[in-house]
This record gives sequence, structure tokens and C-alpha cells, in this order.
Amino acid sequence: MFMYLARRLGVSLLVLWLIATITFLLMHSLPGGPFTGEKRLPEAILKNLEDRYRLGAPLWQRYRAFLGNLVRFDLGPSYRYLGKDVNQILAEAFPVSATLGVLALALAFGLGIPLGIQGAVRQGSFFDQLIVIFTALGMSLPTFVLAPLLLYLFALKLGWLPPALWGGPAHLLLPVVSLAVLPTTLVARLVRGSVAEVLPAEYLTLARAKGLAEGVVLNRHALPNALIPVLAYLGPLAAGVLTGSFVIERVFALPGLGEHFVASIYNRDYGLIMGVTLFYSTLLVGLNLLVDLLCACLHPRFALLHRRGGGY
Amino acid sequence: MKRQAGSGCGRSRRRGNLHLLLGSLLVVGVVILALVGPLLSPYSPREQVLARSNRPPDGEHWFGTDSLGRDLFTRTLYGARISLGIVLAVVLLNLCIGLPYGALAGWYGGLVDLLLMGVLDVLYGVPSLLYIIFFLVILGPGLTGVFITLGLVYWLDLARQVRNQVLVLKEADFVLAARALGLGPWQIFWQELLPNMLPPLAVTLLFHIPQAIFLEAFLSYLGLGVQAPWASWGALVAEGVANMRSAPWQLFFPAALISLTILGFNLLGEGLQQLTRDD
Repeated sequence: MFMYLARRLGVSLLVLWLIATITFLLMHSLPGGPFTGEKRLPEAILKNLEDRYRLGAPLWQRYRAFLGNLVRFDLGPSYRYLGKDVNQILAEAFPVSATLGVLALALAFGLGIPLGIQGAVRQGSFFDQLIVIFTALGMSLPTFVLAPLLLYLFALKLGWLPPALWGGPAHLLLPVVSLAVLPTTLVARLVRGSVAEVLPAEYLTLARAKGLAEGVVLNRHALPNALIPVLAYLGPLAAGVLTGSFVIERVFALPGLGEHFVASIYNRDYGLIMGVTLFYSTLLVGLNLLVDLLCACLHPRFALLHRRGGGY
Repeated sequence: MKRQAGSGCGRSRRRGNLHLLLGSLLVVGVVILALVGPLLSPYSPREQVLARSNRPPDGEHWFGTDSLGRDLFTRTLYGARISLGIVLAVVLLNLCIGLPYGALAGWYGGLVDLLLMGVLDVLYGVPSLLYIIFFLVILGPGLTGVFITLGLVYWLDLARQVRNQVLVLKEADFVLAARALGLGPWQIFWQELLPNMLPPLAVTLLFHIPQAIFLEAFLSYLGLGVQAPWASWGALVAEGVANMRSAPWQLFFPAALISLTILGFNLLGEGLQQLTRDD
């Protein structure tokens, strides 16, 4: 158990270092540096810019400074928004994205888990078929297709909800729902599968033989085991919600970090791209680590299963 | 108890068959459309006729026209060729990396396995999508970039699966027999191991296809994919979203085709998975 924890921690640190190094090397392999645009800048201005952003020093010195800044959570300047650095943009925009993401994940778990349980308990019923159809459709609608369609229907045609911008709860409804559909279907499928797998287990028969009500058997004995895979899936799910938010924030014109990220792709604002990539990567790596540790504590066999290069 | 299990098996097999049927109908339909459709269309996907811009669907232009007067039906089908072509190449490239990697780790075991799987563990930790976007921004958008970056995502899953299977299969009696006959590792892999790994491998590959369609479309949607005047599905959807208020059909048709194709491949994969599980 301890070995597993230590190993996971070590791998995560290695991943973070690898990510930082790849990011740094790629950034500095740019032909001509980040200020070479369609319009050629005069030599003197270019020189000043390079001094300002300390691009003149040898590579290893810059690498050391870069890692040093990273450890102090300084993600460096934006090359486009003058006078702003990436940390400021993060502080302004991330709360919006975090609100969206957390609400979408909450909706996905709040809706997906009961749907999956019902599907598994009433396997083959009409209700179960409905869930299967719903999940198949949900998995086939990319966020960038679903979000504009919902926007078109509920905001433009029916006029029930505001089409864009950041405001009250009504503004949140469409973005959160479009962001939550895919994770909801994934959670429902996963729960349906894992509950169906534990239902024939002998310890449930024993619980029934003790005379426990079916609801108690399900909630107290079946679910704790069945929901561990769902918890383990939180990492990939969060990554999916993150990707979705890049699209959602653009479609609904929300001032979140995803919108900044996509805008920085169009603007070729390398400083911001690098900063956001590093920030989100660290977030995901940290979340994965947390989830794995939690799973190992809840379910010691989990650590065993994953000890030798992953047994799944 | 036994009869119950039997009937459940039959039900899942029937459902698997239904999935397979629906899935293959959708997939074959889209592939035929992509191959044959552009040949039947009298319009070029690139020719701009501003006089007929933003026309809603009618008998002449089945999917309407876009803001530059190009026939959307033709463009969507050319987009299908581009998207499906990229995806097919990407899946094959991943197979070419993942299969030998996993086979080496599984066959030799020990230190080789530890090393190769350790590298895999670290790579698994890297959030792939963020780095795909980052690579594409740095390398410059376009077909080659998409091809290379997507080609490096899915082999991780494949390698792990192949390694686990080889680890189990190499202990089997028929492999022992092949060894006793004096077959080398190369021959054993092709003649004994690969045929036995094929069904689950096919399922994994089938599930990678819709994911790759998804991802390729997402990248083109961000403007990092195939560049104008050519357009893959994601770029068409992005154009459609921009003109959604005045010309909603420009969004609907490409969106519908992407979703139906992904649905088709998902159903196909699920059907095949249920069939292989029963055997």
C-alpha cells in the first residue's frame, strides 16, 4: 500500500517535470521566436522585446529560470495582453470555468448515478432500453455540435433562455447542460455496468437472506463496491469537461479560461498558451493523483491491481 | 439459475446483433456517400459563386450553399473523405506503434516490461489533448500536424492491451507447442499470438475510430486542422456556428453527418464487443 502511494507520487512528479520540460523546449524551438509575425519588426524593437521577456540568455539559463518561476507558481507574461501576466488572467478567468466545470460534473454524477443504478436493477426493461438509447445518442453528439444546437433551439427560436454572456443562473443553464450531457451518459453507462456486475455477488444474497430490505441491500452493500470505478473515472471525466469548456465558453461567449485559451490559439499568444497548458495539466495530474490515492484508501485491492504497470 | 444466465446471454447477443446491424448500416452508408457522393455532384467543393451565397436547401443544392456560394452537400461529402481518411490513417499508425511496443513488453517480461510499462505510465499521466493543441500551435496547423499528433495518442491503450494479452497467451499450451517445434518469436507472434488477440483488438480499434473522429473535428473546429479552402467536418461546423442565426442549415447538415457517423461506429464497436464477450 505504502509502496503504491510512493510510486504514484513519484510518477506524478516525473510527469509534471516532463510536461514542464516539453513545454519549455517546444516554446523555444519556435522558428524566430514568438515575435516573428507577418509584419517584420524593426531590429531595435525586436531587441527591446527580447530583453523585456529575457529571450536573449542561453537556453539552459532560461530553462533554470523557467523551472524556478514554475516552482513559485509564476507562469510568466502574456505576449499579447500587454502588462498582464498569465497569473492575473488565471485569477480573473478560472473561477468562471471552475463554476461551469464543477456544476457540470455535479449534474453528471447526480443524474448519471441514479440512471445507471435503475438501468442495472431493471435490466432489459423499457426504462433500461431508454437509458441505453439516451447514452448512445449522448456519446455521439460532440459538444461543439450539441451546444450550438441547444443555443439555436432554446435561445434563438424559443427565446426562453439568454443566448450568451455571464450573468445570473439563467445564463448558466444552457452552458452547464451542454457541458454535462457527455459526462452524464458516460457515468450512467459505467454505473450500469459496474452495478450489474456486483448484483449477482454472494454477499448480496447473504444480505437478502439476513432479511434486509432490497433498498438497504442496494444502498449499503452493492453501491459502495460498484461506485469505486466511477470515482476512479473522475480524472478522465474532468479532462473531458475541460475540453468541453473550450468549446462551450466560445459558443456562449463566457469570460472563462477556456475562451482565453482558444483566443490565445487564434492570437498565437504563446505565453498564455504555455501558461494555461501548464496550469490545466498540473490540475489534471493532481486530480488523478488525488483520485488514485482516495481509491486506494477506500479499496485496498485497487492498489494491488495497479501495482504492476496497471492490470486493466 | 443456469437457464436465467443462458437467456441473458441470448438477449445480449440479440442486442449485439441489432447494434452491429444498425452500426454497419450507418457506417457503410457514410463511407459510400463519402466515396461516391462527390463524383455525382456537379459542383466543385472549392468554386466560389458569390451570386448564390447562403441559399437554403432546395432541389438544386440539397444542403444549401455556404457564405461563399459553395455547394454544402459537396463540401460536406469532401469533408467526410478528409475526416475519415485522417482517422483511418491515424488508427493504423497507432496500431503500428502500439502492437510491437506491447508485444515486446509482454513477451520478454522482466526488466524490459518494467521499463517499457514505466514509460507508458508516465506518458499516460500527460494530459494528451492539451499537448496536442500545444504541439499544433507550435508546429503550425495543418494536415501533417494533425496526423502526427493524433497518431501518438491512442497507441498507449493498444500497447497496454497487447502487453496484457501477450503476457497471458505466452503461457498457453499452443505457444509451448510452437516453441517445441522450433518456431522463433517472430513466427510465434504472427502465427499463434496475433490471431488469438484479434477479436478484442478489433473492438478497441473500433472504439478508437469515433474518438478520433471526435478529436479531429474538435481540432478543425479550433482552426488547427486542415486549412481552407479544404474543410473537414469540424471546420464546417465552426463555419455553421458562425452563421447560425441567418443560415442554420449550414450548421445542421455537417453536425448531423458527424453525429450519425460517430453513432454508427459506437454501435458497431458495442455490437462486436457483446459478441466477442459471449464467445
